[in-house]
Amino acid sequence: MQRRLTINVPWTLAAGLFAVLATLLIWLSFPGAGDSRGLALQNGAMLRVAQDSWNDGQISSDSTEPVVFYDKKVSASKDYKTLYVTFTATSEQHNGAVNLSCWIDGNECDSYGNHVRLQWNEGADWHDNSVTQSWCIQARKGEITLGLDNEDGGGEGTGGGVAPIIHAPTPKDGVGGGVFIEHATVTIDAVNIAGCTANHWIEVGGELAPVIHGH
Amino acid sequence: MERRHTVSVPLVIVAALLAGMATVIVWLAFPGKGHSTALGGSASGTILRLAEDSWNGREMSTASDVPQVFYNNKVNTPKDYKSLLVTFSATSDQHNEGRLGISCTANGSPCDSYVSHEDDTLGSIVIGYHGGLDWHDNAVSQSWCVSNPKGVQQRILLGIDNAYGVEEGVGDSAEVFFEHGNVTIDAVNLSGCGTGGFFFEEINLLAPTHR
Repeated sequence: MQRRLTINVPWTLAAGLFAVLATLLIWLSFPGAGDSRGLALQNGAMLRVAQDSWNDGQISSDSTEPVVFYDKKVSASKDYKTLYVTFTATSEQHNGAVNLSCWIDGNECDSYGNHVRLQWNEGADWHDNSVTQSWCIQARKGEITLGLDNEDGGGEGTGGGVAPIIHAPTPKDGVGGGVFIEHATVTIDAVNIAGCTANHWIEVGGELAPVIHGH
Repeated sequence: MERRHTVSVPLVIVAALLAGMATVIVWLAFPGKGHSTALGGSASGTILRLAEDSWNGREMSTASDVPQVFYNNKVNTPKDYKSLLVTFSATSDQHNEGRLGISCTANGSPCDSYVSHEDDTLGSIVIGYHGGLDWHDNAVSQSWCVSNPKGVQQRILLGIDNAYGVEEGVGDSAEVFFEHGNVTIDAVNLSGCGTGGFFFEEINLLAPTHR
């Protein structure tokens, strides 16, 4: 004879129990959705939306117009407020300077503007030196585009706002007056923080002296 | 009059329901344990920092073209984390023609498929060279994306070498250095480490193309 348990519970309690069980079932079925969207996300939580590597030879340019070498659409849930793009590589320059530009949906990634000069060795052909740069973007989704250009070492740059649509002519690998990057990594993190502001930065002016508490 | 509902259920179902409730309570109370290890299935893109180590002692240096291990860490990752991102940063100088090479291996294999034209050592990347000028100090940084689809334990080794020694002989004067080093190792629930958004191809010099 089968053993049975009879529970006599208020209707509201029974409904509540079923709701909790339904939540558990959904959470188990869709863990990603469950912990990233279903419940409030912790402030500062990070989600990596891209982690890409270029290990196949050099990427180069001898154009003053940015050569697009990275293009990716990313999206994070509405809990995330910013995107943090980080580029690392090792680099050389056959005259000129390594400049990087970053766009999101065709707009500059930050108010610094394009481009950012990463390396310039006064024309010395030194192989290789590491370069890195990050951009903080006040968006949770968009098409991220990175471009490489070669600014003449003494020049003032090409200015900002160049639309990232041009594959400029490029020199042969390691030949000519171009700039080169290799062993490149790009990571894009979505971050649940209202960042990308100048908060906590201060204009240089005061001396940095150790603060001794109690004195 | 209060409405009541009588439920008559087998004991095994009651036990299962109670177990489910207990799981929810544990999950809510310890969310980190819950979604990263106890039940697997972390969200795509979740990052877990496995190591964050600093070297603030004297300079690390070598004149050898054979990588000298300066970092050795065996890391375990939950099985749903599919890649590791190893990042090294420091400040560096190179004496004379020294070329600072940093290499990375995971369980004895190079961390990625990159092959340097400046350093014959498999897995090594030249990240510091100033044409014989002894300039102290310049920041260096590099990341390696290690594919780890099964989330197996990985022993990460980092080495320092002087790439100048590969072809042109090694001398004590061609020494390379770094200091204030930091290494982070992140496990990431992404099938990353591919080219992803990267693309590059040589095109006709006279015919720029518009995408």
